[in-house]
Amino acid sequence: MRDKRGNVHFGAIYGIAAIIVALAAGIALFGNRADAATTSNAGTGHSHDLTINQPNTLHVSLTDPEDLVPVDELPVVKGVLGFAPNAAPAPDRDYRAHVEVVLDVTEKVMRLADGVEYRFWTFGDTVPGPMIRVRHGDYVTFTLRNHPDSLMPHNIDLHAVTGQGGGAEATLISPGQQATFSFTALHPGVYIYHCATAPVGMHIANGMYGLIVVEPKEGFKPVDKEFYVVQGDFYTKGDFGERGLQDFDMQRAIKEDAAYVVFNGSVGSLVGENALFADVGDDVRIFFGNGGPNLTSSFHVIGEIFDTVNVEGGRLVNHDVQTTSVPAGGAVMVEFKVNVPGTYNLVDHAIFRAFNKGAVGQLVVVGDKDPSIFTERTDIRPFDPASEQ
Amino acid sequence: MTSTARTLSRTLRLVVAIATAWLVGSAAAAPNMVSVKGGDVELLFPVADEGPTLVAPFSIDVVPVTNADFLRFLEAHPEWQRGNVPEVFANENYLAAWPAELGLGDLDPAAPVTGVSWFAAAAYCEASGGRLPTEAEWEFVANAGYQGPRGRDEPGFNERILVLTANRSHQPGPVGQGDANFYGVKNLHGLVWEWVFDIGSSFNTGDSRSEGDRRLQLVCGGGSAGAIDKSDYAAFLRYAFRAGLNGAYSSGGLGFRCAV
Repeated sequence: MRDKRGNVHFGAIYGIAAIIVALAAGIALFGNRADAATTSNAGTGHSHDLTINQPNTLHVSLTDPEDLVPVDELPVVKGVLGFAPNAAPAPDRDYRAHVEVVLDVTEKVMRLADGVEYRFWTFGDTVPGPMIRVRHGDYVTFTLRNHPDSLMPHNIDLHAVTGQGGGAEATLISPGQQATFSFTALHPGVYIYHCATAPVGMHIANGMYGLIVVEPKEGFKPVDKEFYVVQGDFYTKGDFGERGLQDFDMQRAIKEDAAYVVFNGSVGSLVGENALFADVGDDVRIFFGNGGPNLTSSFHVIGEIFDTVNVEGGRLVNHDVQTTSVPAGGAVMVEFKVNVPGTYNLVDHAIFRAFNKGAVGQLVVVGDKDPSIFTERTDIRPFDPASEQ
Repeated sequence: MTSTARTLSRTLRLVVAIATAWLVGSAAAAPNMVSVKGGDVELLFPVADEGPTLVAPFSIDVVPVTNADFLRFLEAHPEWQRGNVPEVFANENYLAAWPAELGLGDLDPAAPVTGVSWFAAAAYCEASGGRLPTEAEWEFVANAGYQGPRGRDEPGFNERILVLTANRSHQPGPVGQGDANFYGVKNLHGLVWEWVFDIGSSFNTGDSRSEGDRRLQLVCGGGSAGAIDKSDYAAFLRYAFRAGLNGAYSSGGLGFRCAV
């Protein structure tokens, strides 16, 4: 009886799913054609890259001569990590390499907010874990080490990996163990990595995520400042601001009722003396990830417009974007020129998260004002509707 | 080769010992044990097409084996002392916190012994006329609540054992504190991980297909798909811990208790 009802139910779901897929395919085809037409008619404006809507097999298959060098003949280089809010340095080479990356897993009590502590599980002793940066086509040998003082088993799923579990199964290790596996970075892009040991949600909710950037062979264009910011939602027994060492609240996590939504692992991590700094005229790039575990970020910088956004961290470049949606387990790369001085707030524009749960950071821009772009207040006086008539 | 053979022969001897224990000494539980009637246990990841696992009546230690207990064992069985035990039976973390071969130093004699390999734990239980509990037995006892045999029917039970499990101290306190569960067993969640006889890792080839499946379930994104109670996070932590083990492994957070 119950089984039968279940089958009917699933049948209906599959039917609806099939219709949705068919519709989506149709929309995608139509959308591409419309896009191409619009672009060919538009003679002015930004010079958009017309290749971005074409099938990306060219980018995926590694057929350059450098890609065919056997792994054991590749130069071995140590992966250089970036600790938030500092991005890892760009790979300074124009050839394929064998990159060795080592990450340590620890469990430690750290500050979540003023007066609030939390038992974080970390990659590299920090939340987010260190940013890893390799070059498209690199052969990466990855070693994960679980500190002997850990109480839990851990592993890592790098979204930049093509293969079983993104490395999760290969790297499952108990306290005091280390494990190694290798992969070729087949796809350029900005990728999340996270712990994928059961219960996965709890490991992520405790802070186990970071970014791995696979830079295109030609490299990203040079900018003046690069930053590394990852959002995460936290589920504590006590509500926002309740003092003391706070336990993870499983029910709250299941209900997706975050007590904290923060950038870089704690409230205030990018505020005041921790703020990001840039000079007027700088081109700024932010590698922005969302570890989740649950919430999608509506990433926005108050008072700025992103010149470009690498949508979902991939090759599709959008221009002139106010707010970009970054899914849990996803990332984005945004670039913008800072034209005038000021304090620019980074927020999740699901705005109660910013002002009531911690998702706010600051980019302080110093330098000369430019009234042709922005005047500060030029006038203030009482407004009397009667006097207008 | 030799070490594999030794491991095999040791495992065989253990199996024989257990069979003997079951045949001969099944009756009275030792004074520090409680007898458990047994019954069906729902493992977190039931094997497909099989019902609940049936657990036969058994007895199990009320509390984990302590430092003092293990010191006595080492005195009687020097082959398990740190300097004597072969590497295949215990890795370099074996009893690493002990300042001397037969000295506890500042360690609390009443705290659970940790840093013990599966082989050493099994040998201890064998020497005391018992064996390690099977995973099904351990889970049968640990699934019990404080009032009845099914903890997850008790409000707040999953949360309570999750907090106990996740908030353990690196220096576990003495055994015997805290509430006994429905079967009269203590310290199942709040002190240390505990070895079970069949840890379900690569060195146990008994059911490699289903064990392999379970291992995948525990490490991949869809890890809870087959689980019977998706909110029993403490159980996920336990099963995941077992999935990463081998018999020579030891660490500061891992102890054991015995069963008969």
